[in-house]
Amino acid sequence: MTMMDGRCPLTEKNHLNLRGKKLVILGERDGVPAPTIEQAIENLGAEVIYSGTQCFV
Amino acid sequence: MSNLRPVIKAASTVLIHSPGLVRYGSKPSREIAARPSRLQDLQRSLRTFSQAEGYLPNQVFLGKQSPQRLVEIERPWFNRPPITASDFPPFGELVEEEKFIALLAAADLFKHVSLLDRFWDDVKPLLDRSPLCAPLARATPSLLTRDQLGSEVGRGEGLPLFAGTDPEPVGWVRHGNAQDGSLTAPILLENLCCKLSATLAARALFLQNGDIAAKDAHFVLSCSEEAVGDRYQRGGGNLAKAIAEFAGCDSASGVDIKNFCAAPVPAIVIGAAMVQSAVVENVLVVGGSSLPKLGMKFLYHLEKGVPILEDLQAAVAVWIGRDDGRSPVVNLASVGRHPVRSGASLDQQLKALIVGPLERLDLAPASVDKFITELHNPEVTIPANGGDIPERNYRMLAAVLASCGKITRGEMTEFIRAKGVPGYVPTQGHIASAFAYVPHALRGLTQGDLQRCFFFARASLFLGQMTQLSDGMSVLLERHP
Repeated sequence: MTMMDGRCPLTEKNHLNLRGKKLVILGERDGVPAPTIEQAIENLGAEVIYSGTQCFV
Repeated sequence: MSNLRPVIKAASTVLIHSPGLVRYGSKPSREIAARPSRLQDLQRSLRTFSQAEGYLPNQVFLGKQSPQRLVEIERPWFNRPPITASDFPPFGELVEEEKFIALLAAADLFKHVSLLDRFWDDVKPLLDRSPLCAPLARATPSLLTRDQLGSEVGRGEGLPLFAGTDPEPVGWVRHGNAQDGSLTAPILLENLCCKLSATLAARALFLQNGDIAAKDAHFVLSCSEEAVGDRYQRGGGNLAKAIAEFAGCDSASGVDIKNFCAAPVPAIVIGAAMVQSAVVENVLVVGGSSLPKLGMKFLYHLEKGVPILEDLQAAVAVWIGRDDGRSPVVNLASVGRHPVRSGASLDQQLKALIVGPLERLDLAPASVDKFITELHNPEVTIPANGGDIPERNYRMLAAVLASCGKITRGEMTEFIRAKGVPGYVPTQGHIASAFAYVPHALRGLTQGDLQRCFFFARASLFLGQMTQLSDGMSVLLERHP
């Protein structure tokens, strides 16, 4: 995933290691949707056990 | 061949004060079932008709006040003295609940809705005196005595209707088929509310525009959020034709356009494309109300001492026709789409919906007077921890435009102030998604100093759990050259 400035903010180089972790992802449609969060952490080794986006209006 | 350029000739809005129906909103009905005392809590916080009528966001919704008043008058708006004077002629009216409930019986051709005889006797004269409602109330509906109504309630094979906080029911909705989950009384009530409110919006449009007649509508597009059908085709539609029939559009056929709360923008685009391609001459786009969204945030409002502001159903109607030399033009070359490859992130959506069309038309953001998006009333969403939805959308749009070099970072704050519109619309999904602003845009693009309004709406497709994607569409409405 790339952010608006073209960088990927979440990498193991940034000391974010999720290997062996199980993740529940809750996104928000007017903020950061779940698929965007999934893309951001896809190379960090975590197992996504639920991913969903909420709409509050 | 005459000029086929599509224009928006007229638009209207209506609100329906619905305190007695709030209990049948999705959230209240679930909460009351789990904890019956919630009903009393809710009823203690309901507004009177005059409170709803004098509420600034409702005045703006109905066109009596400019959206600019929302900036001039500081929040909270709900505890300010009611506004009674109108700065402008209205786009429609606020309909009393009693009239609406009585008309539900008229809208129901299958006689599932019955009214208490004394209630009908009281309300019929009010309907007869209303130019908006009278043509819809010609036939006498199915009536019940008090004892008969009590028996129906006792049998429990349907849903009682209440006016305001009066504990005595004034009507009854019988299940269309108790074994069919798509035809139970709650579903029929939801669909009838949508049909009736959309019809009232269409009627308001005809009443205010003497040169537009119901018989001249050739096609009706309903962009409402209900799901009409039986168990074999839940959501199959077609509510548009039912609305056309009830509104007296005898020459019209119609279909429903579904895209969650973003449906109105595609409906306007499709309607304009039908006019431009000469398939039909006039298209009526209507969005009826969403009963399930009544009282959606009521628990937060109770907790924070805010009245139940989600006590209103809302509907909008827009008339698209051929170029008349004066009405604002629907610029079909401007349409922005949100392709699958754009993914779900908000910045990619906005690039597809706004930046792409601006580049295609070689337009700078400064050339657009207003960007119109989701205009939910922040006084409803902020107490529910949802934030100010329009403000968040405009902030994100400004950031995307800055990241694409369309404006500078230093211009972002002024962009949000000058190009945005404050929220004022009831949380009725598709109605708030830019659709409610169409009559304001028409006013500004004909009588005011607006040149271009860019409408864009986004749909939460993931709510149906068939995809994680969103969708959206945008279109430019321009002053007639």
